Amino acid sequence: MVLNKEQLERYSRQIILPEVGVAGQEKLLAAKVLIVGLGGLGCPVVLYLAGGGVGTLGVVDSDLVELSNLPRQIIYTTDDVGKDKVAVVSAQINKLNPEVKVVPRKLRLSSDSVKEVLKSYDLVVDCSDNFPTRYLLNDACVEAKKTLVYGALFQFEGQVMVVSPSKSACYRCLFPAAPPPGLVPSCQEVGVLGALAGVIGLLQATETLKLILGIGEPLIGKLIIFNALEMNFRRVDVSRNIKCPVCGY
Amino acid sequence: MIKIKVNGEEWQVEPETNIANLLSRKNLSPHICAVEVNRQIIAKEQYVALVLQAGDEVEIIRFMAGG
Ligand SMILES: [Zn+2]
Repeated sequence: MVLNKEQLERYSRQIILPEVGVAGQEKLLAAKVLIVGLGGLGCPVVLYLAGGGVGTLGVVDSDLVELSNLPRQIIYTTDDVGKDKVAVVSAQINKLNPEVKVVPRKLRLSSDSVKEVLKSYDLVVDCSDNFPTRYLLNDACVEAKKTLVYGALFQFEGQVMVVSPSKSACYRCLFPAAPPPGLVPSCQEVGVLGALAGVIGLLQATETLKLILGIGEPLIGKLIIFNALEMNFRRVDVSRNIKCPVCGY
Repeated sequence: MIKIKVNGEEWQVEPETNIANLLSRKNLSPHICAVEVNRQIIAKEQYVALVLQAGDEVEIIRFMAGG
């Protein structure tokens, strides 16, 4: 791949970084990333990955845009209420960076579809909003040995971790099984600060870019916990769990 | 009393305190969090049996699914 004049200009602030350079930009353009969930986390993730020139972005969501999404799901405008999220995201990304190939998938991941949906991607970003999807994704990524960038929100708190299958702890190493239904309320039930979604989503986007570029120290085996009220980050080592139901050894 | 660390903060607890005691002191159900002691994830079945020792570093990690 040889970068053309427009690409050299568009990505100049990234290319000038010694850790990125032309070679790094080429890696980004060749990368294929799957983003599951186009809500509060997925919106900033998609925008920054597309802006940065990640060449192929698969986007998965079955929902329509709702008015209550707008405070944190920053791709959508008031006019988009009622439209398919995947369609609006595709159109917006096309305007932001026409050379990014967006692959829209309007579906809710299921055990039947997950393998096929993941197949053509190098890296997966978990921006989902429910436990069943999170476990489904983790297990499928461990099985297919695909790196997973996990992020989640609760009111004023968020978490980010990178799962490098069979090398570092997976989501199930930390949380072996989903909590009993109803014990952990959703954002819909107990709320979330809109800007928090941006903080956590952009940590996920940053980790994804680093992983593609192979630079720095990604959060492999490390969980970041961000508390917006206290405005602090805690970093917790998460070691592999021998008894993990999917990656135990 | 013995000194332990919980989520990075120093705590004083009675000797013989177990993880279940610690969670109830924080008002947390064992079903909504994971617990690490000295960087090892502790199985829920051990929450009563595992007695904390002076200097132990405990991390209580909340379950969250929002996105
Ligand atoms: Zn595991």
